Amino acid sequence: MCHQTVSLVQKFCEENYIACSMISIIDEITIKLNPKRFLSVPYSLGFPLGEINQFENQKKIVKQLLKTIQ
Amino acid sequence: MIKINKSKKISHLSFKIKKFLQFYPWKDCAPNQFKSLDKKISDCNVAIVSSAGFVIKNKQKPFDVNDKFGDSSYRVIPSNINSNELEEYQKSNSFDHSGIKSDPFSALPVPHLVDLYNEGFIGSVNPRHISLMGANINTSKLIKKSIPDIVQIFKEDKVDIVLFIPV
Repeated sequence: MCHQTVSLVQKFCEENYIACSMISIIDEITIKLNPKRFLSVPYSLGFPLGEINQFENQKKIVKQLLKTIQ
Repeated sequence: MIKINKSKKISHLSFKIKKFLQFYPWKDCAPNQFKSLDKKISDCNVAIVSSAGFVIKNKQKPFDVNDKFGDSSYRVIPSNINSNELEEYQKSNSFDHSGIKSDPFSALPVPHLVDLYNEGFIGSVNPRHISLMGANINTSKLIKKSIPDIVQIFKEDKVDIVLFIPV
């Protein structure tokens, strides 16, 4: 339900003209929720940015997430 | 280092969780209205919403992990937080919690945003970010109380972009 919780916040932020994008770990769920933008990542639940303590790799994911907006 | 399984398909989840998710009343979260970003990302103020259930240790009330419908409250996490100040209260048993416990910023990537600000990729890192506990079954309290507050915080802070990190 994490995907749904953040997707609901996303909906209301977008409706208030704040641009949003979310990480999608389980795309089947994300597609049902239908958020405006998302970045599909090939990781497991609990590891949204991939391997822990891998700052540069995690930063690349954050940068990719930002790029989905523009 | 923890080995990450490269899987994102629902079919890889346990039978019990798959059954639960199959009949789960998913909401349609498509916004009814929206506006395209009208400035460069390098001029934008960016905030994060994480569903990892983080609270500031000894300063904020823990999320209620015994609430069977899920605790729909939220916590404000400042940008200058240290990882050792964050404590996780996420009741979900559908994922391995070890990663976000040992590397909280893997689910609340504030230092990553600070680096992107220093590189000029974003305009600023918002001073306030939001922590939620994602395991909400009853979403009405979330929609009626917490979300309006969160939107108001972001509007007050003139946030341009919000990044959402489910766990």
